[in-house]
This record gives sequence, structure tokens and C-alpha cells, in this order.
Amino acid sequence: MRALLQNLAGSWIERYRKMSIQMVISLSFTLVAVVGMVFMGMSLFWRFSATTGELVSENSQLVLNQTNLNLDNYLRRMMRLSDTLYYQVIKDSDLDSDSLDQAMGLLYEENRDALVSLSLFDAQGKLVYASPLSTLKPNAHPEQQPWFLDAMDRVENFHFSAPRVQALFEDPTPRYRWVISLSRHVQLTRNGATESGVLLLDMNFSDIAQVCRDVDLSNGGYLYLVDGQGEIIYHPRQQLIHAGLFQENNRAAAQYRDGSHRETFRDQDRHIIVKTVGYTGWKLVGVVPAERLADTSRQMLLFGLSLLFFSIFLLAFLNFRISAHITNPIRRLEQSIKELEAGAQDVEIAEGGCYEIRRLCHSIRSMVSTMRHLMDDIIVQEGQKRRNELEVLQSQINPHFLYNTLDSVIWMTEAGRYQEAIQMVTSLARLFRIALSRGRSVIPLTDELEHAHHYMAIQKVRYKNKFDAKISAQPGTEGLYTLKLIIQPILENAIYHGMASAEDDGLITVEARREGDDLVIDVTDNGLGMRPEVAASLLDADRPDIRTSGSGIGVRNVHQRIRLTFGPKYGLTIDSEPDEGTTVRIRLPALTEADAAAYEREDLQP
Amino acid sequence: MKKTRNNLIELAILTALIASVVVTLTFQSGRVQRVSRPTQLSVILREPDSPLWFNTRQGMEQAAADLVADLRFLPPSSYNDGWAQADLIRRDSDGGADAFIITAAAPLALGPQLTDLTQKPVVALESPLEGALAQITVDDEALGSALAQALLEDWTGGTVLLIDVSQRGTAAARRLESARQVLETAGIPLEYRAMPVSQLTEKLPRLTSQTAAHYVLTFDGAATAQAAQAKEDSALTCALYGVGSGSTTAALLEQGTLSAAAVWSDYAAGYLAVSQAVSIYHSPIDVPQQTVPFSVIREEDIYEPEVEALLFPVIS
Repeated sequence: MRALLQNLAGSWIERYRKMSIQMVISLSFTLVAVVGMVFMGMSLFWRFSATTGELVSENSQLVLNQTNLNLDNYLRRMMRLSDTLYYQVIKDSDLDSDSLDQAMGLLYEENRDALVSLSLFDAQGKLVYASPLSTLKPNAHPEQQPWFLDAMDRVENFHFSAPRVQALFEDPTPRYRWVISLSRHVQLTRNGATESGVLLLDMNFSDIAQVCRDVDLSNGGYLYLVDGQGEIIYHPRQQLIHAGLFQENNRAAAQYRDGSHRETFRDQDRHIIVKTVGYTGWKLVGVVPAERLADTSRQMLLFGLSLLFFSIFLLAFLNFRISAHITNPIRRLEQSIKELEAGAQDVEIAEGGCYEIRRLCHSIRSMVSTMRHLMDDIIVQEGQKRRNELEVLQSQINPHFLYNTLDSVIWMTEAGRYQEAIQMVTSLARLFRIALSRGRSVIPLTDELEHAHHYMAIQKVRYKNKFDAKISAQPGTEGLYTLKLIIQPILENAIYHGMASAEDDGLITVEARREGDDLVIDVTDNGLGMRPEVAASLLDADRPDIRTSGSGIGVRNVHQRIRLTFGPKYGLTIDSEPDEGTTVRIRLPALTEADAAAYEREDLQP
Repeated sequence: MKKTRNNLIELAILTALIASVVVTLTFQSGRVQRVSRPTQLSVILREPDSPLWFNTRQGMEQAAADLVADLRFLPPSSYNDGWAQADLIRRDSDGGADAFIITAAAPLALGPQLTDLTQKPVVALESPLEGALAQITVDDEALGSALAQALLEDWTGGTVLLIDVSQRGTAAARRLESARQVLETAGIPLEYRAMPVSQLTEKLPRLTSQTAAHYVLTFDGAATAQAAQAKEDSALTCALYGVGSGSTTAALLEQGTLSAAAVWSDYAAGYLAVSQAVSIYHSPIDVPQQTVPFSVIREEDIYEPEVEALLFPVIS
């Protein structure tokens, strides 16, 4: 299981790594939004369902309370009528001398909408007064009826019967009407003597049914009325119950206390609200099927789902657009960089998108521009380097110097100065051998100084020893390397410009020393010197080349070569005073053999 | 490539979401629509509308209100006219009825041609009908037997006259046959007369005189009412036994015009007929015959609570 989870996690991580930034942004935002909305939606739905349930319960309770109030008012009206009849009419009348017809008839007429009949019986069940019908049926035995027996049994109470068909009076119509009987014990006065009797008010059942019938509980609920024993007084499906086509849990409901209850009846969950009707002990029972609530909840759920899906759709759409807006500039930038990698030259890096992306594009554009400039500079420098090296190569076999030197060898040989000729040829050979140095551009300092020595030896002979040369290397310079052919052009310059008018007292010294990490070679002459501006112009890159009959490499060439190879920190500096002389200082890094090998490898790289 | 794939994924997600919205909204409105369209039911009686059918109609209308149905009552212009009923069925079948409730005047003639008259589901009320998907009836054989037994309890000698106002195969015919068997088995002298119900009031006094009948049995509500009318009008002394419901029957029992009557809940029968018709319309399968219970009552039973509910429906 753990391995499976790890594999799953691994595959998801791999998938994430391959996902584009747009997909990551849009999916993650959408996922967070979905989770949030689902959580909110579920919370709202549960809360709403719970609230709906509470509201339904409260609403049902309110409806029940109102119905109870209406029913109670109706029943109390009947009880007040009964009281009026008894206390205002019957109690103060003597049946032998007074007639009840007018008063009771009037009261009946005033309440005929609610009453089916109004009647008075003595203790034996004999009819004393009745309205509107006054003839009992032959088989009517009031004294045997439950309403009569209850009234005689509990004299202080009102008694309400269950609904029944009134069967007391002869009716020519005939009509059989459902009534609810309100009976009470009364004291009758007959010839001064009191005796018991029963006052009976038969209330029209349809009025009571009307109070309950017009009540609609929410979610398809209904209301019914039971007596204290659970016998149904009113039920919207009363006839179906009588016919056995409908069942109700009325007996159990009669046992419930007032308030809300949950019950399951015939596999149906129901919400029950019970309210006792005042004096009678009847119970109003409200029934709300939970299935209807669930149906409403399902409707709500569907509606909520449709809203949720729509909201997620909007959020997803928005997220996709925003992520595209963010990532499209990044994608364009990536494309541009790919093109750059592929070597395309005219790649336009567009600046767009958010602030950070624009800054990034700007920076990359600047970097690309800088890279292009640096590359251009490198190309230029490499070109210059190649030209300088070409010049060096060319100077290695400069024909003028060779011609003049050989010419000197010829006239020395013709003059019989064989030893001097041999020395000159030897120096020449050595000069060229060092100049070639097997193609290396960095050679030991000793070789370079030897090269200068041989050059000076040749030139001294040519110039008939008009000048002297001293070449020395200070301690600390052992084993150091230098660019080749950097001293000889300076010596050449010193000879041509400094020693030209010398009177056999010219002196050119070459001194190599170490100053920290630098190698310094001073070439000093006591010649004519030059003005500082002239000295400065010698190293000016814009000054045209002055070709001489010497080796052909100018001072400027040396200066450029040193700077190109080692950087602008190094090179030549010229210090000259007219009539005083000139010192050309060569500054190089102090290269060891390993350093020289490294520079040699760089030079060899294409 | 990756951009195209991402675009496709986004489009698929958005399409799925909007499809979910459409589906949930459609499903929600579909549920509402299914509930709101009432079922159109045509009720074809076998006699002109009369108070005898009041309770039945009340039951039907209650069921229609509960089950979201519209009722159209189509009484024929004359009693027990099978041809008129067939004509009504044929015409109303094209008129938008979703189902029929029929009290057949001539079930044996109507049954074989029912499928030709209509392809809509049919519920038979009162009398079994071939081709109907549901039957709401009383146990006619048992009713006839019980009524004959009630007569036997009172019989002290004399002829029993059986009145037949219906066609063969009807509920009344079956009850009569069952009662006849019981009485014949008991060795009671019987007379049998068939006639249209409209002639019963006029002919009954002569018939009782001719047959010297001391007891008259009728098996149809209208026939019972007509016979009771004839008895009262002509002050006949024979004992009358019949079928019926409602306050009319209660009054006849109380007055002594009827000695005993077989009663059942017309209200329940009407309610059941409509509920079965609606149920069959939505899922047409054969439903077993449903029998409505009956009771044979006398005057002293009228105000028993169970009998009160049968005779005097509490219409909510």
C-alpha cells in the first residue's frame, strides 16, 4: 500500500514537472476555487436544510397554534352559548310555568350557522325543548346515548362527543348530518323543585372541519384532530380511513405531548407537531412527510448544484484567461530564447505581461544586447589579435633586416673580418630561431632577453658601435615567461630615434625585474628623447603605422599585443624628456611556465 | 503542441462544467414538468347522473385532487345503453383522454370490442370488463348470497320475486344469480322478472299481485330506489331487499321501506378507480382485481359507527 502510494505520488510529481506553468496556475487556482466553493456550498446547503427544517417546524407550529386558536375560539363560543342558555334562560325558568321556546328559539336562530340542533332533556331523557326539530324518533333513546351519560356522570364539565350522525329527531327531509355534541348537566326547575337535566348543543361538524380543512402545512403536510383516546374527529382523508384505504397513526399521536416529534409510520418518516385544544382534551396533529422535505431538499440540491457548476465554470474561465495572460508573455519569451539558442540573429524580445515579466523581458533584452556587443568586441579584438600576430609572423622573416644584416656579413667577410662575420651570422641565426620559437607566442624571459642581446649585437656592428647595450635581469625573474618579440621593437625604436645622432656614447639598457605579481622590463636610452605628447602618441591606436626598415613591428604593436593578451592593466608606458633620453617600461604579469602553457592553449583554441 | 493540448484540456473542462449546469437545470425543470401535467380521465357511467352516484363522484374527485388528474364525466342519456357507451368511448378516445373508467352497461358485449374502441388503459368499475387493466368491484356473488341470507332470516313463507333490470354479465346479474342459487337451495319459491328500470315503479305493484310475492329482491341501486318508491306510493306490504348507499338508503331502512340493504363505500370505490387509472396510465401493467368490502345492514344498524361511515360519507 505504501509502495503504491509512493508510486502514485511519484507519478503525480513527474506529471507536475512536465506541466506547463499556465496549466499549473489555472488548475491550482480552479482547484482551490472549487474546493472553496464546494465547501461553502455544502455548508450553506446543510445550514439551509437545517434552517428549512427548523422553519418548516416553526411554520407548522405557528399554523397549528393559529388553528388551535381558531378552534378553541369556536368551541369556547359554543360553551359560552351553552352557558348563556343555561344561566340566562334555563336556570331561572320554571318549566311548569315558563316557556323556554322564545328565548331558546332566538338563541338558536342567532347561531343556526353553527348549530344543527339545540335541545334540553330531563334526567329520564325526556325531551323538554328542542329547536329546530321537536319530535324525537321513536327509536331514539337519549338517556342511553354517551353524551347523555357523560353529562349526568360528570355534572360540572362540558362534554364534547366524537363526530356522529344525528339521529334524534324526525326530519321530513330527511337529512343525516354529522354533528359534534356539546352536552352538560343542568339544573331544571319544575314547580319549584330542582331536578337534573341535560342541555345538548349539536354543532355542525362541517364548521369544525372547515377550521382544520383550510390549513395547509408546508411541503404537502396536513392537519388532523383526535380526541383524548385517539379517535379521529377530523382528518382530511377521513372517508378513506373509514373505507380502509388509508391508515393514520392517530392512536400513537394522541399519546404525544405538545411539541415536535419524529415518527416512522408505514415506512415513511414524518415530522409531527402536536397541540392540545384547550378544554376538550382534543389534539391537533400536524403531519409533514419528511419525503416532501427531502424532495424540496433534492430540488434545492439540484439548484445549488447548478449554481455551483455555473460558478465553477465562471471561475475556471476566469482562471484560464488570467493564467493565459500571465503565461503567454513567458511563453513568447521562452520561444525567443529558443530562437536565440538556435542562433537566430534578428530575434525580437517583446516586452509584455505583468510587471515582473516585463522587467524580466527587459533584462533579458539588455543581456542579449550586451552579449551581442561583447561578442562584437571579442570579434574585433580577436581580429586585431590575429592581425598583430600576423605582423609578428611577418616580422619574423622581415626581408629588409635580413638583407641589411647579410649585406654587413658580406662586407665583413670581404674585409677579412671573419670573426665578426661569424658572430653576426651566429647572432642572426639565434635571433631568428628565438623569433620563431617553434611557433610559440609565450617564451621564457631569458630567451626574450637573449633575442634582444643578439639583436643589439647585430645592430652594434651595423651602427659601428655608436652605442652600447646592457641587458640584465634582476633576481626574482628566474623562470618567468613573456610574450615574444616585445623588447626588440622598442630597442629598434630606441636605435632609430634615440641613437641616430649619438657620438659613440649612446647607451641602451634593458633591465628586467619583478614587481609583485608583475614583470617589468625597462628599456632606457640616453638619446634625443621626445616631447611628452610625441611619446604619448606613439601608443595611440589611431596613429597610422610607421613602417621602418627595422624588424617592422612597431612599439604600438607591442603595446596592443600586451593589452590584448593580458588586459588593459598591462602594456607600455613611455617616459621621455627631450635631450635626456627615453625609458619605455614594459609591464606584464609575472607568468610561470604553467601560466605560459595556459596562455599558449588559449591561443591555440579556435 | 503543448499549448494546443492545454487549450483542449481547458475547453474540455469548461464544456463539462457548462454541460453539468444544463443537465442539472434540465433535470430540475423536468421533475417540475412531470409533476404539473394532470392525467386526463374520462368516466363513462351506465346511467344518467343521479344522486345515487354522488358518493362515487366525491371519491373520484378527491382522488383526482390527490393524484393530479382531471375528470370528465360522460353519462349516457339513457339507462344501461351499451351502444351509447361504446360510442362515447370511441369518440373520447380521440379527444385527449389518457385513460377510461367505465361502469359497463353490457360488459359481455363491450368487452370483446374494447380494444377496437380504444387503445387507452381502461379501469372497470362495478362490473368486471374484459380488456380492462383494473377492476374495482364488490364481490357480487358474496353480496347476492348475503342478501339472500338476510331474506332467509326474515322469511316466514311466501314467494320471493327477483327483479332483474340489467344485462348479462353485469354486477347486478351476478348478484341475482348468486341469490337465486341460495334461495333455490333453501327451497324457497321464486319468481323472476326482467324489465327496464324505468318501468319498475309502474309495474311492481302489478307484479307483486300477480306473483303473490311477499318478498322482493333487487340487485341494483336504481332498481332498489324505484322499487322503494313503488312500495311507498302503492303502500305495498311486501318486504323489500336491495342494494344502495347514502342517506337515501338510510332513510328507506329507517322508514321500514327497506328491510335490509347491502351497502359498500361508493366513495372508496370511486377513489380506487381513479387512483388505479392514474397508476396504470403512468405504468401500464395488469392490476389484480380489487374488491370493495360490503355489509348487509338493517334499520337497527344504521347508527353503528362503522355503518355510519359507509352510509354517510364524511366529505372532506
